Amino acid sequence: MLAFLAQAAIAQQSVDRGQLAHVRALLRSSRPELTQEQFALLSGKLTRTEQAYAELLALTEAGAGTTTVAETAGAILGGAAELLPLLIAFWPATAHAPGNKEEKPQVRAAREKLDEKLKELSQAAREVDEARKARCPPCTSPLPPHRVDADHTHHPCPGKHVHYWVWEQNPTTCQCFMKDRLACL
Amino acid sequence: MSPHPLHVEEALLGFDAREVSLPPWDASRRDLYLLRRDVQKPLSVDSTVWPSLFPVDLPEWRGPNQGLWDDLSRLRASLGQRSSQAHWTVAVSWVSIDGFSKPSPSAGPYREPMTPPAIDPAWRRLGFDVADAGLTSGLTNCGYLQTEVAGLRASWASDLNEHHLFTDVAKAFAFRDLTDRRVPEHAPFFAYALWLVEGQRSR
Repeated sequence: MLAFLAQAAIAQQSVDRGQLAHVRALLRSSRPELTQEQFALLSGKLTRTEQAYAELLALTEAGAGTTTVAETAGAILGGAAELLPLLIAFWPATAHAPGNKEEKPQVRAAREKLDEKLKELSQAAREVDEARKARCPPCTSPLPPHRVDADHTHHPCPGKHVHYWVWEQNPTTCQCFMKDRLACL
Repeated sequence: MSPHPLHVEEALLGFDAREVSLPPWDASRRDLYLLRRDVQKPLSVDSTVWPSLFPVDLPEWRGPNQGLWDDLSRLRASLGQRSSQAHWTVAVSWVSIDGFSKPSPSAGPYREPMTPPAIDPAWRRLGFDVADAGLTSGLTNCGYLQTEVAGLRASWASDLNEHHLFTDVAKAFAFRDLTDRRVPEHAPFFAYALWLVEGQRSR
């Protein structure tokens, strides 16, 4: 959730050409992790978003000075784990970007179309993300019992504390890994 | 001549971004957890000792080992706005002197594929830590008892560098054996190397 909020905060700066290029590059690098249908769905939605953005840009010429993060960031090595949260964060954060009340009707229409395409792209990413998560069976092997320790301390616990275990799962390989957690008593 | 007679092998366990802007530890924490009290702010594989920029409960998949990312590029890409915070990017490796003859324990550390797959010669080794499978440090995060700390300081403080890490891997293994006995609830402990991949702003 925290990462989602962080991504949303980035997205609230509104989408620009650099972000769309970054997403396109990420989508390409994520292709091995996606099914053919998932890739086609996201690629199609992204293409329509790019077209809507180009239409808005042609009307406003506002994009000339926008950042071009992806164009200067070198090789894109991230995968679906980076792509999907980024796409999901595109909506609704961008929908609330302040508009210009005095903008021409055709500009407003182009902006609303872009918002709509971003929403569709975000929803498609959410569907793909949920499908990918559902692909792995849950980690069901029994975890070791929790353990209460009292004869040594760990910061920030002043004394007695409990160690317990949780599963974390690699969403690509579905492998389960045991992780240690600490709570003060 | 080899710097140490042990046959040392290392398995990369992952990467993390660690803060470099928090204030030094206060005296009471140094008294309880350090063998060299003059070290103001120790470094460790343990993110309680040396905090990560990422929270413990981050929902995204990071990697098989406690709090560490299995892909350096993915770590960098996931920093987002956090990248504006001063931090060091580090790598952690599991150090073995028996050729990793035993399989990974069920609770870790886990020898799994990493990206990049091996230690880069350009990285700088910060030192060796001793920690359990979940990377709880037996060197800087298992409080020393008043009855033992004076003797331990006399024996070990001189083997620790300015980061409160061992520079000699043989000493790290000797301290690992001691820590298995000192904090048996957390045994087995392991020797880990902490590597500086890149630093942003001076510490």
